Amino acid sequence: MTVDVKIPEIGESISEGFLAEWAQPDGATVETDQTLLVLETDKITMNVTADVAGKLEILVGEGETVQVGQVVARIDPDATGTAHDDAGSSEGAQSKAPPPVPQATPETTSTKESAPPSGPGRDLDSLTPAVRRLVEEHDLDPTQIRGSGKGGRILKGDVVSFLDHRPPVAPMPAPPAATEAEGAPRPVPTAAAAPSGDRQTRQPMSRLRRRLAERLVEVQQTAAILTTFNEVDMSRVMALRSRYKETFKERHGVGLGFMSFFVKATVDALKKVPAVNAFIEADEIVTNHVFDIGIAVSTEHGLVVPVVRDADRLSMAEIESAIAELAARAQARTLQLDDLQGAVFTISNGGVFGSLMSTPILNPPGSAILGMHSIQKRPVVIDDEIVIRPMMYLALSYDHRLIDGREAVTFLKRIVECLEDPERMLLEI
Amino acid sequence: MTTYDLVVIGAGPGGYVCAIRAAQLGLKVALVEKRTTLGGTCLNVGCIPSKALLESSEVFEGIMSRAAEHGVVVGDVGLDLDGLMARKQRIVGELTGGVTALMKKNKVEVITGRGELTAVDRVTVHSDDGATELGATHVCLALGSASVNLPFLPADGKRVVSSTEALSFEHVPEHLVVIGAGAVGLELGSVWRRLGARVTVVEMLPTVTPFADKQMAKALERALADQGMDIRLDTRVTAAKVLKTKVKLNVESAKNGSETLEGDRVLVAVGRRPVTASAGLEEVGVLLEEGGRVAVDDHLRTNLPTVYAIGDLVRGPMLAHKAEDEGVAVAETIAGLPGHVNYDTIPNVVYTDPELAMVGRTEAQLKEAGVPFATGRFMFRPNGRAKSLGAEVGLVKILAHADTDEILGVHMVGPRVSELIAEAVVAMELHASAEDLARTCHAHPTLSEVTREAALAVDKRALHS
Repeated sequence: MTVDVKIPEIGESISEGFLAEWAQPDGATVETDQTLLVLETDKITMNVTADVAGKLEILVGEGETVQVGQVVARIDPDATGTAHDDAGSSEGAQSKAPPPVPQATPETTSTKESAPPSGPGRDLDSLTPAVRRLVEEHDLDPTQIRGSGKGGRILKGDVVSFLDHRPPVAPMPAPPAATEAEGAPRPVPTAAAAPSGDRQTRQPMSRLRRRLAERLVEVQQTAAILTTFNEVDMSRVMALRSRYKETFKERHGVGLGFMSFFVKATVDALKKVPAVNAFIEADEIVTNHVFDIGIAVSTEHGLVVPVVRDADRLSMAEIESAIAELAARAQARTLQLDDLQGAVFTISNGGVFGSLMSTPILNPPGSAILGMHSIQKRPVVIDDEIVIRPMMYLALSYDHRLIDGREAVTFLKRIVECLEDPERMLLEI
Repeated sequence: MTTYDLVVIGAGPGGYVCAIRAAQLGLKVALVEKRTTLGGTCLNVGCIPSKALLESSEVFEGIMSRAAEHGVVVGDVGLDLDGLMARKQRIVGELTGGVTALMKKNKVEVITGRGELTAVDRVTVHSDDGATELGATHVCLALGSASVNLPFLPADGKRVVSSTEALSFEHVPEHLVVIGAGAVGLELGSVWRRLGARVTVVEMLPTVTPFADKQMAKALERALADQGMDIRLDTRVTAAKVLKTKVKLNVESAKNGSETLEGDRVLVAVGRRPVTASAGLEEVGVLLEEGGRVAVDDHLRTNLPTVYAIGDLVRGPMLAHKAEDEGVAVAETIAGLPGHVNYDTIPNVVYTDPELAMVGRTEAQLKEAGVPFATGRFMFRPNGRAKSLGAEVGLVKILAHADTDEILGVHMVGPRVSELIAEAVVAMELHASAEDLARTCHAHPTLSEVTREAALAVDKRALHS
């Protein structure tokens, strides 16, 4: 008697997902609680595990959209499958390939496509150490890379040139391609991974990126986004930080970063200018009385914006540890749906990548987003003298339907004040 | 007249290896050699005896100057030069005898005598017993090279000698003057310096080992000078007078002007030239290049389609292992297989102390070719194994392409780098990147860790610097 493997309930309002990867090949013997597949939804990626031990029979291939409750595989507790060779299905590296065919029986093509022809460099173990590192780091399918070494072996240079040529130079409607570009909207793909020559490769957009793309376009179309700029002299914050860095770390067990200052300053400004802490729903203006701040986190799987709850009630240390924890979980793809919902305001730090100035796009339902940038030593005039100060440009994008220029500028100037003079936050002046 | 599929003339490392490989592939092979022992210059009067002497002299010098540092107390230390030479000769005898055994095992017919190409398909062997004609479907010329003489200083085998005689001096010279700071000059200079001679090396060019990367040549020069070798670079020998017990040399340099050097022995080590005379090449119509080497195509074929030439006779560095690989390639080509030599990955080693080893291109060559590259260097000094050996002088330098990270050259000066270079050669043969080398586990504590650190340093992430 076989046991069905079903797509579990994921959360409110989510009815479908994307079967990103089978962690076990068809025909493998699986243990109870062993990860069977990786499921991606709008916001989160989750592992689906085996309820019973037995032989796995895969019914739905990788790259398919699946519904909650759908049967995607069966486990036969009485049968023993083929021995599972790790090399054949190392996690990540082959996620874009069709379900691996058990090596012992290569003619068994139960899935819609047969595996790509085996050749040099096909499985991860046969790659050179540098090539293996690059393939894993960039989540590449080595079978898509042409090897110029002996016997078709893939050299590091081949991967480097593959990565260089990866974004397609397409004058026509651009085919979806794997790219690291942050948040750029791209058309929704229809085809599964298909090799298309040496200069391009195609792979399905991850569920996360598809959703991200849709939402970015949606907000661009519905909100009247306007960006105002200001600059902040970071010397006080930096001095404070370097002065108490050690003590802070000792006392709280977490490093004192810039983010806690920005979150605190934001909360202060939101309190001063409540119009920013609101959003439009239908014909109504909804004003928030909570201070749940979204923090944009860049992961190798895409951009996510986990939320620091009730930031107004958190100490600096609590904010720092909350952010550190959320960022770690984002990288590990273990964020829950709840972690991502309900930000009233978002902070995005493009400075970590070296951005000097940018115009962030709103993260709905929030009506404004603060863009941090890199700190640069620049000459500024203070008391009629030119002095060198560590300066950062700040950008505030806001929904002009709701927030007037006066409010936006006041809000941003308040953030600048709080950062240039952190005592103001303490004294609430 | 017996006809062979292949007649190889010259039983040096190129010739005898060619003969073995051809025999393995089922060809009927004759090997013609004028010496009574096989192995050519390399085994008889080159690489092998010089290594034997280098080792013996190192043991001697080590006991004299380094035993105390190891806490080893020795009594009277003396040198038995005859015993030292006997050991060298025994090693040579074992190896040349081994080659003879290999020929027997592979059923290669060895014919002693001077081989001469008398027609495209004919080799005549001249010996004391007269001349023998051999029919040859294919011929491989592996005649080797001989030391070059200076016109004003002909070698007499006594005061003025070539490397051959310098391997068998009956006494340790008082003052040995070496002309030429290449591998031969520096190695034999080192041998006699360690055994007690004063050694002066005169080199026309501005660096020792001019084929090496400049930085490495400089490092080697400094190390040898520290040991007491008097190295005169940019210095030209302009005249010589051979007296009964000594030789007077006039040398000139921009730095020191004109000087007279007096030595009781002079070793002329200014290079080698291919042996192309007296083998009938011109008569049969084998074309030579400028410089006197035999002209060959990529498959080592001369202008005569069934006549091949290898080793010191043809373009490229005069190295035994290069000749061996060419011998294999020729045998395989004749047998209808794709024979190939990768000239980009031929290592080059100088067996001084510290040793110098290299493969691939130098910084200067890469700059000239306009190839963008990154450099990783690591010294032997912090390496634990080097410290325990008491051999901390030297460094490893890796040059890798700036974009692809492919290793383009590896240069080493230091302890036992003659062995360390093999790793770099394999890596380059497989077109490995510096990162491939850096991500490969190396045993600890070993000298090879220095290679790995140099590979890490290409990406500026050496761990122990």
